[in-house]
Amino acid sequence: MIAPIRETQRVRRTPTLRRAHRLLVSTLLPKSSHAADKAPPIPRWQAWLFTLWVAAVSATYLAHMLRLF
Amino acid sequence: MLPSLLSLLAFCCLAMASFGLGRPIVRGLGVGAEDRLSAAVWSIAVGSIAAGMLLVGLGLLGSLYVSVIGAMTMAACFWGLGEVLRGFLAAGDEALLKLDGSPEEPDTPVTPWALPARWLSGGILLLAGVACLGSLLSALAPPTAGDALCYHLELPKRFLAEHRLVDLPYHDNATFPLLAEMWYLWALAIEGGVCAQLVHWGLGVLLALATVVLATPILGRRWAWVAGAVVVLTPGINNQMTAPMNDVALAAMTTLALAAWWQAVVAQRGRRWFVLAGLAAGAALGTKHLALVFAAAWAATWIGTVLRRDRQRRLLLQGAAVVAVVALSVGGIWYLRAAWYRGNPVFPFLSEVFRTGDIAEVPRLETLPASKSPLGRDPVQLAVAPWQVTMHPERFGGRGHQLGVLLLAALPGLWFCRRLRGLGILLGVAAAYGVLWFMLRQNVRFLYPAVPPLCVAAVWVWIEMRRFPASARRVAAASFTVVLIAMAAVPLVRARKHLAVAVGIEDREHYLVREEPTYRAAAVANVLLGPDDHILSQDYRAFYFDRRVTRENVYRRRTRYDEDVCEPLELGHRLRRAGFTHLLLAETVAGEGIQYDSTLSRLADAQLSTRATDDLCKLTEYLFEDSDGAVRRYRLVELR
Repeated sequence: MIAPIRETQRVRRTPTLRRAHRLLVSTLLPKSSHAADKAPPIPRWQAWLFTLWVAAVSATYLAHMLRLF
Repeated sequence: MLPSLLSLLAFCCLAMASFGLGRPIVRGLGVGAEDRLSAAVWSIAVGSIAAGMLLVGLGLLGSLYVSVIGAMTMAACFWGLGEVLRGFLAAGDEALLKLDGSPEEPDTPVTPWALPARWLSGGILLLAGVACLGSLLSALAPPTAGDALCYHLELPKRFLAEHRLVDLPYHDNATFPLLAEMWYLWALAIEGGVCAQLVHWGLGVLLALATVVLATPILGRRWAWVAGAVVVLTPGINNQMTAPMNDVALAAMTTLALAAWWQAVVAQRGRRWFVLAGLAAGAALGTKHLALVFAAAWAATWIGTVLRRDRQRRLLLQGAAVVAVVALSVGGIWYLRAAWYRGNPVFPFLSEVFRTGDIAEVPRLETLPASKSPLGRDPVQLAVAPWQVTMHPERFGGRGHQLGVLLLAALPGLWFCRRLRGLGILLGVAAAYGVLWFMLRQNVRFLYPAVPPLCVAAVWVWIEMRRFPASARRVAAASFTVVLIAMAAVPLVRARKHLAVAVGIEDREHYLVREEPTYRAAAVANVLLGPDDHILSQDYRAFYFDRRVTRENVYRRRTRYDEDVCEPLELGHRLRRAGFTHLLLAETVAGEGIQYDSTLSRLADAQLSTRATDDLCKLTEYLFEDSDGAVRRYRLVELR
C-alpha cells in the first residue's frame, strides 16, 4: 500500500512577515518604472505656454474676485 | 450645541435609512459591489430615490404623517445598521481567507501613469475636507436662502401640514419636479429645516463620491479621489451645499447616471448597469426640469456612440430603451402631475407650446427671455463663454454660484494630453450640455452637471503635467496650489457668520431675527393668527410662517384683483371675500437689490391713509437691511 500523501499546510503570513517579504523583494529587485516615464516629454514650448496660461488666468481671476479691476 | 447635534443625528439617521433601503436593491441588481465605496454610494443613492418615491406614494394617498414617516425611517435605519454589521462581518471573513493580504483594489485599471504621491492626494483631500467643514458649519445655521424659503422648504412644509401632495394654484413652483423637496420633507418630518439643509450638504458629499466612482475606471482610484475633491472644492457647489436647493442634487444624480452608463457601454460590465443609469436619470428628471437638457445632451452623445460603434449597436439601443423606461417610471410622475393640474408637463415653461387656454395665466411666462441669456446666442460669444462665466459670474446668476478658475485654467491642457479611454465620451456629454446651456438659460449654477466630467478631465491634465520640464511643472503646480488653497479658504471664511449658531453660542431664534427678514413677521403671525388664517404676501419667503401664505404677484397675475379695486376702501373687502385674512407688505425704502412689485402696498397705503374705517390694522412694522443691500419695510396687516 502506498502511504497517503500528506496535504501541504499553507503558512499564514502575519503582517510582520509580509512587511519583511516586501522589504527583501524591494531590496533585491530593480525599481519599476511606469510606462509614463517612457512616454515622450511634452515639448518645452507647449509646457511653458500652458504654464503661462495657468498663471495668467489664475492671476486675472483673483484680481477680478478681489475687484482690483 | 445640542440643537446642532440633534440635527446631525437626524441627518445620520436619514443617511443610514437610505443605505438600508438601497442596499438590498443594489445587491439584488448584482451591480456596484466591486468595492465598499461603490457599494455604499450606489446603496445610498438608490435608497434615497426609493425613499423619495415612497414619500410621493404616501403623499398621493394622503398619508404624509410624521408618525408614519418616523416609523418607516426607524425601520429602514435599523435595517441599514444591520447591513453595515453584515458588511463588517463579511469583510472580516474575507480578510481571514485572503492569505496574501493584498489590499482591496476595486475596478481600478492598471494605469501606465504613476499614482499621485501620498502628500499630493492627501493634501488635496485635506483641502476638500476643510471646504466641506466650512460648508457644514454654514449648513448647521437655520436656513435663510431665498429660494429655499420660497419653495424648496415651503412646499414640503405645506405638503406635510396638509398630509398630501396638494395642488397650490397660486404657487408657480408647486408643479415642478419635487424629488429633492421630498427628501427635505423627510428631513422636516424627522427634525426640521437645518436637517433639510444637511440633506443637501450630504448630497454634495454624495456628488463628490459619485465623481470618484465615475473617475475610478478611467483614472484609477487614487486619482479619482483627487477628481472628487476638486468637485467639492468648486466654489458654487460648495456654497450650495449650505442651503436646501436642488442644483447639487441634480448634479449628483446626473453624475451617477453617467457613471452607470459608462460601466455598461465603455467597460461593458453588464446590462444591469443600464437599470442603475435609468434610476439615477429618473431621479435627475424628478429633481429639476434642467435634467431634460442634460438628457438631450446625453442622447446626442448616445446617438454619436451608436453611429461609431457598429458592434455595440444592439446593446446601445437596448440600453437606451431600458434607461428611458426606468427613468420615466421614476421621474415621469412629476410631469404627469404638472400636466394634470396645469395642462403643461413642464409648467411654467414652454407655455408657448402647451397652450391651455387658461386666461388666468395671461401674461404667459417667456421660456427663453433675453434677460436669461447675457451673452446672447451668437457663436462667437459661445467661444468666449468659458472666460466670461469664470471672470464675471455675477452676470450669470451671482458669484455665490461660480465655478472658480480651475477648470478654465486646466482644461486647455487637454490639447497636449494623450487620448484616454472613456474620457472623450464624458467630454462629449459635457460639451453638448454646455452648448445647450448657452442656447437656453445662461445661469452658472445650471452648469453643475457638467462639472464632474470636466474635473475628471482636469485631473488627467494634471497627470500629464508629469511629462513637463521640471521648471514649468513647478510653476504650473504652484499656480494650481494657490487656486486650490483659495477654494478651500472661501467656505471657511463664509462660515464665520454662522459659526456662533452652528456651535450653539448663539440661539437659532436670535440668529433668524438677525439674518432672516421675514422671521419677525412670521413670529408675530404664528402667535396671533388662527389655524385657518391666510396671508397674502409681497415677500416670497414663507417657510417660517405656520399659516397659509399666498404670493401676491402670482395671485395678481392670475386674478387681476387690483383692477377690481376702484376705490381705496374696496381693497380690504375684495381680499377678504377671496379668503385672505392678513397682508404681509414688503417694500424697498433704500438701497439696490430685488424690487418687489408695489401694487399691493400702494393699494393698502391708499386705504390706510383714508382713516375712514379700521378695516386694516397693523400688527407689526419694522425695517430690515437684507442681504442684497436693500432696506425693506415689513408690515403685517390684519384685514377686518
